[in-house]
Amino acid sequence: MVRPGTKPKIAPGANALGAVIVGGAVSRYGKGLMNMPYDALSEVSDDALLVLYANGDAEASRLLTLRLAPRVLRLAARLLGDRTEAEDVTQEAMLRLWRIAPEWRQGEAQVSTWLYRVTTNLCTDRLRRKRPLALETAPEVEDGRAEVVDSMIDADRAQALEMALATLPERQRQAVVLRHLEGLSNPEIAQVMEIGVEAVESLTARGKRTLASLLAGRREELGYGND
Amino acid sequence: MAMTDTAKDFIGLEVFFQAATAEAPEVSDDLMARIFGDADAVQAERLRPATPLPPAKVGLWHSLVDMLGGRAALAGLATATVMGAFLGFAQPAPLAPFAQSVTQSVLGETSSLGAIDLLPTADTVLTEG
Repeated sequence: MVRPGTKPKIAPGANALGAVIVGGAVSRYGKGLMNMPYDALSEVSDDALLVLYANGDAEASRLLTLRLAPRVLRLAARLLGDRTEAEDVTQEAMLRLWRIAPEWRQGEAQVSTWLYRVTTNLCTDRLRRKRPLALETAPEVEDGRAEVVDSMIDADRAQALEMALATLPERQRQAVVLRHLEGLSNPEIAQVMEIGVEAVESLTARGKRTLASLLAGRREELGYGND
Repeated sequence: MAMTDTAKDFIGLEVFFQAATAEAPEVSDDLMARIFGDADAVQAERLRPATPLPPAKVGLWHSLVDMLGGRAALAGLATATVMGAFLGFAQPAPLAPFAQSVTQSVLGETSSLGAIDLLPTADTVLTEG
């Protein structure tokens, strides 16, 4: 598992195309991404694109950005609750990806998982700077304490969830967002958060229980009365 | 035992997740441009050819050493010089018979270097023609 800030390995200067294209299709892609048919681009994995970028293919960084930046931004926005800060975190996370590209070890870690972890850590740092109190030690919202959500007047459904998420302890929020908004599996979340799968299940369950409690009184108001 | 999801606890929560998923923020053109700019800058920095070092200044000492054949030749020359001076002054015992025989072969039976006339008089030169 590759940690943020560590250096994944890859053979420096390796023939990226030869290294990354599976199935002997090197000649097909031998002239770079610009000459590849559009449908073929989807066949190139993230770490293959990262190797291409490291070897000087500027187009690879465009494709990687189009694939990964929206996911990073979504996660950062949901963890931080602030669009501007989420954009800064996205840029910083992508910058770290560009810097680590020459040393990336293919097959050892998924680029997206690595990026999620970097993003999560960057968000944690920002949240802790804003709130010196360790979030893990903050008391959990008890059942029935739905005043946070009740205080909203014109909030829509997504905002209701966002506000409820903001009341969760940091690790619970991360687990719930990664599982239910980013669609990661529990083992993937375990890799991102560097904890066991059981701990992920526990965090997710506790987070959802609190969310359910907070949002229960809002369902009818937000138009979900008949769901 | 880890807590796990139960349908009873989370009834209706899924609809909020779906709403939030539909409301996901999109990457702005400005952010995209900033990320592309970073990617290009990092790539350019990495692929930039190394700057050649400026030629080093050559001093008198280095010129002299080069003229003599480099450091190795200089070391050999210094060693030979020191060894020669040592033999000239100390003349170790094993060399004495050798030195004696060389002296006799050159000077004949003369036993002392003081007896050798290194500057013969002009008369002698004239006499011998």
